[in-house]
Amino acid sequence: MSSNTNKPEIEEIDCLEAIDNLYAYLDGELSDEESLAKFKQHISHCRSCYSRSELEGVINDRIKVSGKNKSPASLQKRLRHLIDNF
Amino acid sequence: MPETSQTKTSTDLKNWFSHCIEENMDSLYALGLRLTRNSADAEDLVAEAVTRAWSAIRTLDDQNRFRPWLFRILHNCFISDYRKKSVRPIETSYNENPVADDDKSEIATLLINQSNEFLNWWANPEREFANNLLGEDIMAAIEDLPESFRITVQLVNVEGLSYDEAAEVLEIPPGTVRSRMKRGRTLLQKALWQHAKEAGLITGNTILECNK
Repeated sequence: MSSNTNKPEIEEIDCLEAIDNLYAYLDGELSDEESLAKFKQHISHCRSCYSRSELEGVINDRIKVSGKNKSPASLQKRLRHLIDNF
Repeated sequence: MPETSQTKTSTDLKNWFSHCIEENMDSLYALGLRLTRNSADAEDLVAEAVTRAWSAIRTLDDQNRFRPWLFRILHNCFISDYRKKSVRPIETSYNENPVADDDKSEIATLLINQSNEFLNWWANPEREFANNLLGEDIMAAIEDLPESFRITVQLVNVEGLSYDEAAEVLEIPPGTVRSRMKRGRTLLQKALWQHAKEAGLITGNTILECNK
């Protein structure tokens, strides 16, 4: 019995096109389905792009944590005082 | 009918504003730091932005857009006040026009002048590199990026703004945000690679094997 599901073929893209879309993908901005499918297909079989994608993901996670700064108590006090006087 | 800044009473508006500022103090300070790279200046910038935001609060149409609206005011304060007073040398300006949609990918354009050694590593980063990379190293490298990239990375990667929201804050087209993310992150990779090489974290025996 044939299990042909008539899945449309995804056009292959090269590494440069994949990397061109990498940051948009990691930032949740690769919204058009065709580009997303092409990108996912590429990194599923390209070890280099997969490694790069993994590394960029790690960097994203570390930026997310390390880029946060606690506001100093002096600033908090200053802003509260400012707002009280508005 | 949804409540807007125009329909709230003065007391409600002030309480709401105060609450929103409390929630965003750390974000404002971090953005101020990325822009000014100096704690005292960042505090002054945030205080000025909060004062201006309160003066303009009745012009905020949609309260759900408070964060990008507030961040835009902070960025504008930086451009109009701080940057003019700054004694720092003017940073190199970059061509920010998104590359036209032709055969040449934007990443290809960005990589064209890089050394082969970097390109080999770039195409095949070592797993240990990711494991050894410290948040402090990454932030130090971000601090060295030109201002336009520092602030875009901060808005998108740290504050979690969408490209459209970041574009609204910086008053640039969303395509330019996308471009800045690629360019900024490529510059960041170069800086991290340089740092890792100097610190002996990269063995250097990588091979360029991708090309499909």
